[in-house]
Amino acid sequence: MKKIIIAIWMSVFVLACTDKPQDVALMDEMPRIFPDYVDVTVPVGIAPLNFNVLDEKGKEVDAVDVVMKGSVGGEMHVNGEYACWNEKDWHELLEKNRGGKLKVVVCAKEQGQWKQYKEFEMHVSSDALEAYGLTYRRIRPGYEVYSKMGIYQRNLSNFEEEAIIENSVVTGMCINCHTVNRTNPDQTTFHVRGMHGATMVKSDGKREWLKAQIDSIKGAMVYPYWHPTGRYCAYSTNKTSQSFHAVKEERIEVFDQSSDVFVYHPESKAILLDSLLMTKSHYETYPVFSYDGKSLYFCSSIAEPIPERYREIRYNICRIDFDAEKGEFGNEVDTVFNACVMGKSATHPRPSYDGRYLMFTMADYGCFPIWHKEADNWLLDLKTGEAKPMDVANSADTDSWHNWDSGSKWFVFTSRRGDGLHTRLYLASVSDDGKVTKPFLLPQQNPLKYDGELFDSYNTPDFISKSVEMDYRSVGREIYSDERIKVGVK
Amino acid sequence: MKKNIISIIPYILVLVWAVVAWWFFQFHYEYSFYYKEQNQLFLWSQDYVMDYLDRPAWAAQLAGDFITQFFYYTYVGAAVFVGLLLVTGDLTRRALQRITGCKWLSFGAALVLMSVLAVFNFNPDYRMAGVMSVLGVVALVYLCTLFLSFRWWIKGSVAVVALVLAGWMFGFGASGIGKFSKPYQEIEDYLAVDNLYYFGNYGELAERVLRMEKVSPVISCYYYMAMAQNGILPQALGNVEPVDLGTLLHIGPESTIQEMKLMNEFYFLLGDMTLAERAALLGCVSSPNNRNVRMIKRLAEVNLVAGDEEAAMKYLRLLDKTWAYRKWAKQNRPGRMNARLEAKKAFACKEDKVRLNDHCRVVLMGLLETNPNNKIALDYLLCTDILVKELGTFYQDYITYYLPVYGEAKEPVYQEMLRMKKEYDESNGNELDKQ
Repeated sequence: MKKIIIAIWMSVFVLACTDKPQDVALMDEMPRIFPDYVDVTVPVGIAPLNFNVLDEKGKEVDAVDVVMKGSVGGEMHVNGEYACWNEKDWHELLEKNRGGKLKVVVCAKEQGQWKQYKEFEMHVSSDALEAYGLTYRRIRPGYEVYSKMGIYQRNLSNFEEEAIIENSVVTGMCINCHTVNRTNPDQTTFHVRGMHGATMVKSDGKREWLKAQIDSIKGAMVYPYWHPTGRYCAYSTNKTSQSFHAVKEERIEVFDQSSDVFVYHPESKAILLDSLLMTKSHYETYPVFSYDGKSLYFCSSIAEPIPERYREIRYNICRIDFDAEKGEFGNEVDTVFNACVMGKSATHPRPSYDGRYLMFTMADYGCFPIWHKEADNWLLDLKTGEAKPMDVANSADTDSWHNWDSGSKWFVFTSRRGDGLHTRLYLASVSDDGKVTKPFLLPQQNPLKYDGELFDSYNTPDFISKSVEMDYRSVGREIYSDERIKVGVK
Repeated sequence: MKKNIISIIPYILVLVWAVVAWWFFQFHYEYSFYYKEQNQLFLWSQDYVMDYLDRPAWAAQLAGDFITQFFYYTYVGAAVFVGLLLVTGDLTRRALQRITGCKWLSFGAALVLMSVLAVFNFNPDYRMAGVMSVLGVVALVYLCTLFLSFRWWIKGSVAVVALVLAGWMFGFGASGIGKFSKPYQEIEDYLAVDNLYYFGNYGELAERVLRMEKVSPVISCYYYMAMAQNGILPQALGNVEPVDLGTLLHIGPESTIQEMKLMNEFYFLLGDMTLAERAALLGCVSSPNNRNVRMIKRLAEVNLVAGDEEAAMKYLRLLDKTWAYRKWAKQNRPGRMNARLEAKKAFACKEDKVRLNDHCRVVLMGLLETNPNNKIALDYLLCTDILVKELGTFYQDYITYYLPVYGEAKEPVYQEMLRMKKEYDESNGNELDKQ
């Protein structure tokens, strides 16, 4: 019904108010568009990159008239309040110009005067985005009171967003880190905090609810990552504290007062422990399996006292062998990337699924860089051992939480570069020679409205190869039931 | 003559009812209307209004929220609310009179409906969307009665259309059903104090609190914050019992919305923008639809003071689209803000320190280390020492923070504590000093 009303309204509006450029002044400057889509690289199949045009004062202009031409062929034209592309035409134009460019000419009406700005380009990648969509958590940046929050999925070819599960299902609960196996949502896990706490593990089409607190590790299953075979899932267990900065730059500091790493074996409902991953002298966290499942990467820091030496907490990225057949760990831990010697802290490692790269977040200190303005994403080439910041994709504000698409060409990450307060999702690609492209904000129907009126922050984004099917009513019943599986030790 | 007098009796009854209702809501329940207004964020933008179409009973919600935004202005809340009840009652009366032909029954039913809606409004969380949903359905019923003399198929068609509209636009009036209760006087007292503080009417606040037979801890906090604003916190200490300064209160998942809003005002008063922002965010997410215009304004203020221009502009741009706050938003921009905010800027923390939680002593000491002239923070520190009967801590804080800036204590309560300290030292051989 809403669509019909909007269509009628828009038709009337368009007929009454269509504003064609007249007496156009040619400007020797680029248009101020939001989001910044100038020179971005996009994949074929992505939703239309609608944008708004702003005047010198940052206010939206009265009207726009935009023409987009493909370097190979095709053309689109839009006239209205903002550049809102027809979905079908957009997809056809991108498909036609795969590997080519889109040239965009913006005319904007500002205080009654039409102005034509310098042409800019968008690049259409020849690398396919191998994903149906994204999953992510949306939460208000007021952490302690969960209010309305949940895990959502977004179709990347259009603007459809759907809740997978919201905490309205169970009042007062908080849902953590929804993790699928290599973008396949058939195998997934997430942790529920609150009165009806549990860890959900879905495998072979069956949901299991594990006890929130595991006696043998005296903690909960926090940051998960699946083994490529799906036979194991690595978790960390973290005793996390939140504290508050006195000045605005970082606002909130989250740190672990203890943390260890272990692996869960769904088949036997038991966990695999190893003393090398549970040392008292170090905090171990953020475990991830390598692309072939033969290694387990994790972050490790000397267990400095908290909060006295919180600025000295710095994590390196380490690695230990893992034998999936025997369910055993190796006998030694290697340091894959030594951030401490650089006076930095490396967290959130994410290996590409082709085994080529390891992406991680680098900050000055700590394990939770989402409020660190200096936090940037880095790329470690696992073939050469060379690591470098992804300058093109990074910003002056926080850049963190990232994941790869199944083709390992594209990645999604969160950034606070917009308003400095709320994280938003950006996508970019890495070419075969390691060149990173300029990221673009996840397309929105009306970007300015979305940015201005949405108070949520996005986190833990990941690609999905298909739509997630979850009956939230039965999930709610299962959470309320408090029927939990006790996890043993293997 | 007598017949004429009898015929106007129902109108006089309605008029008396309206005057009594208006008088009660205006002079005994006015702050609940500010609360309703603050608990939403209505934007004058086409996209925002179109979003209402996704909601159940969208027309009722849209109209209700639209009207509620004007409750910001004095005298508007009660007048508009009673006006809406009168319209609802009049349409009910007209519809019933056309159906039954009985004037007295129609007036009686209309008065009952108006009274029921007025009682529902005793609950501060009862929204104007509820009244509008009932009004919308009653209006449709009345429109149907205009077709009573038409052919059956026309009447039937009109009834079907009205039924569909009543469901789609007004949710069949279901959201108008509230709870029967007595007036929530304690909540009204709290809302009065909260709003008097918000609007800067500290004298009126103090008078009102001192008249109260029973004072809740939250109201006590507001009283002492008002005294601190007037620079007389130490002098007023003990005027209101229980003495609750807010310095021992922590907020978290178990906190009430009253406590969150209180701590937002408290930390803003002290000058700790990080914790004021946190409390404002918590206050915001605990409001219906996670929107609270007062908290949004506070978030803009906090970020203006802290110098986070991008974050401040995000909230200011939202306020630009409101009716009541747009003027304020235009007047307060990064680099150009009112004197009150400029003054706060001088006290904002400049040196970073991480606080494990909102332990107020740590917060107060941090503020004083950055700005020794922050007298409000100093008074709260010393008064808390007095409150928890920590004579030694009081003396240390006095020596560290008070003496270097203000010299010998002038406030009687501080002088009394120093006298007690001296007596204690004389009888115990300066044990406290040695400690």
